[in-house]
Amino acid sequence: MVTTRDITTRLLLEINHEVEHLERMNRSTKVTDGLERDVHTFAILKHDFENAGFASTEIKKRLKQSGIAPATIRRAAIASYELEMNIVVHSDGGRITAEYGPDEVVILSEDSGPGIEDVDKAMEQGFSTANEWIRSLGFGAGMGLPNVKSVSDEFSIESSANGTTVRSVIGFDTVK
Amino acid sequence: MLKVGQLETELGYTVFTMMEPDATTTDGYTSDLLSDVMGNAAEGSTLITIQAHKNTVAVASLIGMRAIILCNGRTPTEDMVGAAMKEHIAIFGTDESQFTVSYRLAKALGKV
Repeated sequence: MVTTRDITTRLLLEINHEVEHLERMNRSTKVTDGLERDVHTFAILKHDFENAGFASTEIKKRLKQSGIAPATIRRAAIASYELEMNIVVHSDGGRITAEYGPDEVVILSEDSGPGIEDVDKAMEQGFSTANEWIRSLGFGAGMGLPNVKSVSDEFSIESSANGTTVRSVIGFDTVK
Repeated sequence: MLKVGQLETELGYTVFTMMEPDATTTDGYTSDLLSDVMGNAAEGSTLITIQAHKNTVAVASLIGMRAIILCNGRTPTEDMVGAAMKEHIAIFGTDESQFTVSYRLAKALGKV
């Protein structure tokens, strides 16, 4: 039998779920060169495997709504997912920002540390500092950053003890 | 080309969730490394793996895979099944190894 208590509990759960969803994403607009750009920011928590993939899924949805070519969406999905996972797996937490322009989407990953000791090494295929547990989940194969670089039209990475910033630009007209 | 439902009816795999039996799968990819899957698997393919957790669904969904076959008797976590239902990705299970599933699927897809 369904009681009013069941209904209230269920409604509260749904509200919590919705609030969490809103808390993870923050929308704003930015004006560059007279053009208004949509900017979506996603907060990513350390070791939050439960919600990993949320930012990339939202980015994918947004590009799909804009009628962007599937191959381009795939490149943006790969870049954003790998960057999102890097924050979850390796950092103390951070955020992913997607800035949608008329010709490209800029994906920015920023975390608050502890930084990458050797950035050149981190860019090498197969190099990883992930622990056994992370590896057992299928992550930490040392392919993340090389994957991001290979799908990006522009790629840059900066790292210090205060945090790591990665910028990936996915052009809508590029065939890769 | 194969219908997702045929993974049950023709190859005999156990269904954990299958929202769209008529969806088609055109290829297969065998890997337990999710970044490898992300970077290299083709859209519309079936993932053959032992990674029975929710993040596998996120990867499969982002690159447009239609089905996941869990090998060596692995069973999905509850939240993995929930995520797959939401994303309309089918999950199957089998006691067969990744090698056996790979060649059986390749044969069914007419790849060999």
